[in-house]
Amino acid sequence: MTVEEGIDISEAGDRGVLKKIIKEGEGTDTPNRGCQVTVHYTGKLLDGTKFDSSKDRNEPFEFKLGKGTVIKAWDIGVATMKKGEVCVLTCAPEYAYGQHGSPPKIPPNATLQFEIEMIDWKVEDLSPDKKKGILRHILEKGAGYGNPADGALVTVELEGRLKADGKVFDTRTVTFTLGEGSENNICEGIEIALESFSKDEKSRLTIAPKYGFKSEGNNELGVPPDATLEYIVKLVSFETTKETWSMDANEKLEQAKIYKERGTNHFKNNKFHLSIKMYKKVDSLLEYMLDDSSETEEIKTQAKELLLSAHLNLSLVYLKVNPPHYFEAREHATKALKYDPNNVKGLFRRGQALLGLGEAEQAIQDFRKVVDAEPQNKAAANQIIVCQATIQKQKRKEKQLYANMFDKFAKHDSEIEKIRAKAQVDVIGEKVGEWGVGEGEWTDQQRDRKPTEFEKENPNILMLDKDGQFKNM
Amino acid sequence: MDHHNDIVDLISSLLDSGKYKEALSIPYEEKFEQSFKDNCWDLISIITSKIQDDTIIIKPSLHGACEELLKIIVEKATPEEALLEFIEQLEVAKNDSQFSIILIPLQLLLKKLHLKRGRSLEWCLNSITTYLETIPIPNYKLEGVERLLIDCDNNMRRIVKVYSMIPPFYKPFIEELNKEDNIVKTKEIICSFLISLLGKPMIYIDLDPDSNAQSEARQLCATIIEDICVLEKNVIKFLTYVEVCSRERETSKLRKDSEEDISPYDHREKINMTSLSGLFYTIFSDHFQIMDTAIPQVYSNEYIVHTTLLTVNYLLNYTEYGPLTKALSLCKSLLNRFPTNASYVFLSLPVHIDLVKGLVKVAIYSDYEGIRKTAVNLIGIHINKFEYKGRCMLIKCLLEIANHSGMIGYAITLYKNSINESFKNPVLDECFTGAQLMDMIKKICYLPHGAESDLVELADQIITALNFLRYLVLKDTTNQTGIRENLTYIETEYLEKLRTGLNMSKAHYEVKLKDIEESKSKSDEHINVSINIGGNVLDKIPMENKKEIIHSALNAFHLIEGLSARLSECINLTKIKC
Repeated sequence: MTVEEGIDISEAGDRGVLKKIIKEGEGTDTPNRGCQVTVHYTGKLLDGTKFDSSKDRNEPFEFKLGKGTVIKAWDIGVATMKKGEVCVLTCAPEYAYGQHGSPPKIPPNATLQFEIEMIDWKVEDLSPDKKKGILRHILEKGAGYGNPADGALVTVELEGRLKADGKVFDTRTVTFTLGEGSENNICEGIEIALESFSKDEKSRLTIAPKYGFKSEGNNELGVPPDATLEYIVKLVSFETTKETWSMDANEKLEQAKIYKERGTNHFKNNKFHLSIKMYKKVDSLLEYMLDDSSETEEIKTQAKELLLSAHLNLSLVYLKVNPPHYFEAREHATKALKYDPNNVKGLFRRGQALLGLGEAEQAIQDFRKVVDAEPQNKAAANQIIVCQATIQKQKRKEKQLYANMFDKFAKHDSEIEKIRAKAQVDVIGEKVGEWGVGEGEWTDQQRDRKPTEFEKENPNILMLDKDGQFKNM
Repeated sequence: MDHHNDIVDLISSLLDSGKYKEALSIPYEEKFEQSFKDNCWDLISIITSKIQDDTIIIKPSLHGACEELLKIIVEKATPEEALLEFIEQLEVAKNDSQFSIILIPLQLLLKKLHLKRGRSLEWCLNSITTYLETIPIPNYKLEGVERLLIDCDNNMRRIVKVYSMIPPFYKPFIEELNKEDNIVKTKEIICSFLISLLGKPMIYIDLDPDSNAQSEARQLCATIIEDICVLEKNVIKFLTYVEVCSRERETSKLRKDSEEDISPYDHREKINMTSLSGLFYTIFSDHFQIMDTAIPQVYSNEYIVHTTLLTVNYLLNYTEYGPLTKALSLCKSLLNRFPTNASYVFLSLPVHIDLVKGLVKVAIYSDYEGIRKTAVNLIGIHINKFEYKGRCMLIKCLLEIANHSGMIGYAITLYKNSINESFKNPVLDECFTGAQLMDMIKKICYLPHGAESDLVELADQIITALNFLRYLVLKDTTNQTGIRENLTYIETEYLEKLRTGLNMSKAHYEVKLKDIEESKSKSDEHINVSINIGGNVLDKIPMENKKEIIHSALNAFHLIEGLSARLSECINLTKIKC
């Protein structure tokens, strides 16, 4: 390494970006990621041909640092510069325009040399009116592309303090829908800022009262009126609009978790249909993952857990909707039990669904399994009693059905009997002494009588009528 | 009061009776001087109303007199008052000549109002836009050389004519800006107006140098973009506005800003997706010469491509020829910039998926054959820009969103070509092996209704799928892909169903053919045969065509049959070898 070329500042240490300071800058401060940086530059090829210069435009060049808007060498190099510094960056093609170059001025595989003068930088201002209402100072760079959109569910870790005295007023990990943060005491400034966060990004936000809690302050959090706030926010996860096939396993799991969360929130707010939709998304994201032999066991286990809880919850929601959808509830409980055959909730909910469908006998088996697993489970025990009562009721119903059936058969038989009897020559005549219609004998009238309500319900109880006779069964 | 009306009537009648000299002398007569000054307002509208489109040819002296009178008014009237009336007249101008005759005095006035120009200039430019919007946009379904005819369309000529009047109007103000220290606000006002000129109606006009290099519209557009580059030395900075605008469009939510003092670049009626699309089309399509210094050579290609593709996607939503051809040219040159073997990580940006969706839509449904073909071509170029994993993801996306057998067939071909490419490397890429390959095969060998699927509709897909499978079985002699483990699936789940389907379809169509032939012999009996092909009921089709259609269907069946037999044969041979 010669002094002529400068020092290697590339992360990989591959001499992709070499920096040589020509004029030292002031102080020790260097710009952070996201800062709006103002520089003057002149770019030359190695043979000395100038291909571009901001001085030719008579206007300094401005860009956002660390956002990939400029060639890699710049994002790395400019971040090391102090105010007023002038340096030469020598950039290998991999850190500039690569094997294609940038026609017509930059040939393929060209190493570029920039003389850069750092004029100044501004902390990134995310406020819509650009009046420094929301300032961002990126502490840890996020990963990947894409930012949460309005209406997406986000999970953030945040710590808020008052700018004036540094008092911490809020520390929590919170999940909320972007745009509805006020329900969770999240101020507008954070919501606006989050729309430009990437995943896992951690930043310090300085929020003016206008985008904070305004002139009202916030009693719950102990924020006085007109307070400037300072938050440290980390975006843990967010819902994307990406399509299933473009996500890898981990992304799918993450999105599935978010959908599950949303589903639960909707459920809590009694929005059952939305909740069903969300849980079904979990299912559609993950269902094929278990059969995919290319996935690792660890991922499959996670997917299985999520699927289990999604189906359990679906089963619950279908029981809660009005009128309850027992059939669907049973289906989803069965699916859940496929993943975990002894899951108590699954068994219980399938029991409830079966009971609702009138399959008390099957239901009782599920509930018994619950009690076997959890002897102290009162709810299941109660359900068993309900089931037994239902079974009883059903049995009674059946008995009554059969009773009537015999009755009808009997009636039918007797009528045939009578017809046959009539057809026969009555040898004895109509009334013959004590063999005629008399005491101790049921008349046909008596026999034809319909059973009373009580008898219908208690077919096995014989009753005497007011004459002391057995009532017809 | 009478006196007031007098002068207006007097000048009006003098102009009508052709006494132009007298009319012109009135403002200088002492007795009328004050009255003239007081009535400028009314005079402006009276004078402009004398102008018709043909005045300049039929009565050139009337035109000259009116021009002269308006100039005198500018000299004599209170500038602010006259300005308002001129702006008003500009917006309600009844024809292009009236529009044109107002522009000159308006420019003079603005020059006079040097100090407090900002707002007034903005108003003037706004009313020019308003007038432009009243011209209907010609839309002919012409292609190729025939499109040159559009230049003769009346409205097209009007658009070009009005556009051509605009640069002489604003140029002096740009020159003034350059002389003095930059007045940022004025600069931004003019610049945002110029960008808006690239939106409607310019966006509808074909500016491709290949179709018409010398067209007037092209030259005008070149002038405009040149002036934009003079004003804003770095034109790439407008990419940030593309990001902002596309975001707003998605969420259809505007954060209302109560402050009135917003930058001219934040006026959405000027800077919006349409005008920005026009701007970046001119900058990046290689159809126009862009000033050397206007594009700083420090922006990363990824940033430029990803952000500008947003405008391509926006333009792909149109159905007219102009925006679509712009979208495709821009897309092509952007893909040129994009590095090859791009990482699949880029695909997490929705812009790529949206691009595929947009191109597929255009490739299937556009009215113009040329556009459809270019779109198909671009789908291939786009997909092949990525490394294999990214390609597979995009092809899956394509299979998912294309509901068109031909398009699916194209996707299968792209997949086959990629595998073929990968076979040339020492090691076959992982994404063409094992479970990943199987997943793709399942998607490719897809019969939506099993054996009962409509084979005529699916013919393209089936034929390419069979070709692909045969290729794979023959090519992969060492079972690098793991295709051999999947042969049973292909045979039982695909080929068998296909054979059953073929037999049924063939029988069906043969019967239909017989029906037709019989009905032909007994032509007076009018047997109504209805054929359903690809979901369209074909009736009222001449007998011969009916037969043709059925024959072509039968041909397709024979082809499929042959291919599937060959594939089975190949599969069996492979099995024996193992």
